[in-house]
Amino acid sequence: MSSAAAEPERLAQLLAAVSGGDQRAFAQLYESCSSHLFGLLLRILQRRDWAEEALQDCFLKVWQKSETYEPARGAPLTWLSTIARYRALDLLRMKRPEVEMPEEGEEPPMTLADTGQNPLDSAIEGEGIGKLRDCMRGLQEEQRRSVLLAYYEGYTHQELAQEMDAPLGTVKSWVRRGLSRLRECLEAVGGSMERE
Amino acid sequence: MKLQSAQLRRMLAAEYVLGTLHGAARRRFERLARADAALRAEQYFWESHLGRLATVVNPVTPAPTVWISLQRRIGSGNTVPLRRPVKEQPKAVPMWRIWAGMAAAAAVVAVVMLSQRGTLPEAPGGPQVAQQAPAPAAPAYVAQLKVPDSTMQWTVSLSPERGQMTVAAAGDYPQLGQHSMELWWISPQGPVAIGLLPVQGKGSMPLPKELTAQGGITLAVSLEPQGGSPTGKPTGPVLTSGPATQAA
Repeated sequence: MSSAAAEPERLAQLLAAVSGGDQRAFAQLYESCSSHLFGLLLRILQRRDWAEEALQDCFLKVWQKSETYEPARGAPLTWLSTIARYRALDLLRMKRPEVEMPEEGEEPPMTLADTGQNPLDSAIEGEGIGKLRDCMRGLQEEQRRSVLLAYYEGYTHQELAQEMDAPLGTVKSWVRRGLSRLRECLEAVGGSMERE
Repeated sequence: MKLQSAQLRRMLAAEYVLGTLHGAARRRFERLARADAALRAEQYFWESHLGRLATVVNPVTPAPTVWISLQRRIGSGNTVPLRRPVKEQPKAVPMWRIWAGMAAAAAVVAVVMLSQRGTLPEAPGGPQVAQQAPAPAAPAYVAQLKVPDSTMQWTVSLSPERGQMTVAAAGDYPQLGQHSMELWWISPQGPVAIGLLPVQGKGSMPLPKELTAQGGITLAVSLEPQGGSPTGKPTGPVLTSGPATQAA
């Protein structure tokens, strides 16, 4: 796993320093987290130019609003991932219509093969996500798949319906039931049973 | 406006974080959450849990130009050079990937600029570049570029109005081998080739007249095949980058 995941305390200190306008801390934060966030952005946006744009926007926001970090939003890297992902989702909604056909001579969109992994599998097999993985395993196949596709592909309900070849209403209820069950499970397991 | 049903509130927060809530509904949720601590708590619950899905994605190092433009956007007067994390170097991200992102934007500008740049001295090994041009009487800008993990460094004096630049090399870069080190001016549109850097002694190079110091000057050095980048765009890793500051 990336080194950034292993040092939440240091990242929290850097975030605090960044909120005070410390540029060196900002550079260190970028060094520690940018490759992690960029990997995530590439995964969602599938295009390097968009991912670079989103990465810049994300760090710009962190520079301007690092004081909005709260531990309740997760570890620092989790929070940064959330900020990055929200930016990616907004970009996707603006740009998705173009996503299918890049101009000739342009860099082709990244594909799953390019990233050399399938996070949908990693999410339920991978180490490091603890009880979330256990709770994901407890979902029905369609529920799990629709939640993970929405997370990693940034799909809307309509796009999910297309991808999963199912009626819109059905897909919506997969997502909602999946999320409800996840919530119950995450609450039931509680913070103390974190295990790897 | 209040959302009465607890179940609805939970689901809105969950779908907001997952991203399936979009458009006007998404913006509306953000407005509501700003004024509603309980709704924010729901949102944070999902952020802290679903956010862990991000940890299973493989990291990918972004192009160095992202950091450089980011510094411009935060209005940093004093560019903080990034260390290249040593442990990441052997991973050898393919160069086309490192540079691919900026290629599209940079290509047009770089090609235009390159077609107009002056001829640069060839640089096979030894003390080269030296055109014996007199140093600008009063260099307007100065940059110190140091290659991390080596003693190699350059002092670059630029006078964009005169279209002149002088470079003094110091130190050593034993890893150079059959490569050249090329200097780039990072314009808002992308890197513009300036020329090959000497590894020892002094030299001077003409600067493309189109380049202006407006908005600050950022320079970068990349490792290229001997004789310089064959494409007019950086093709190798960035060894160092930094700002040029106005000379006193």
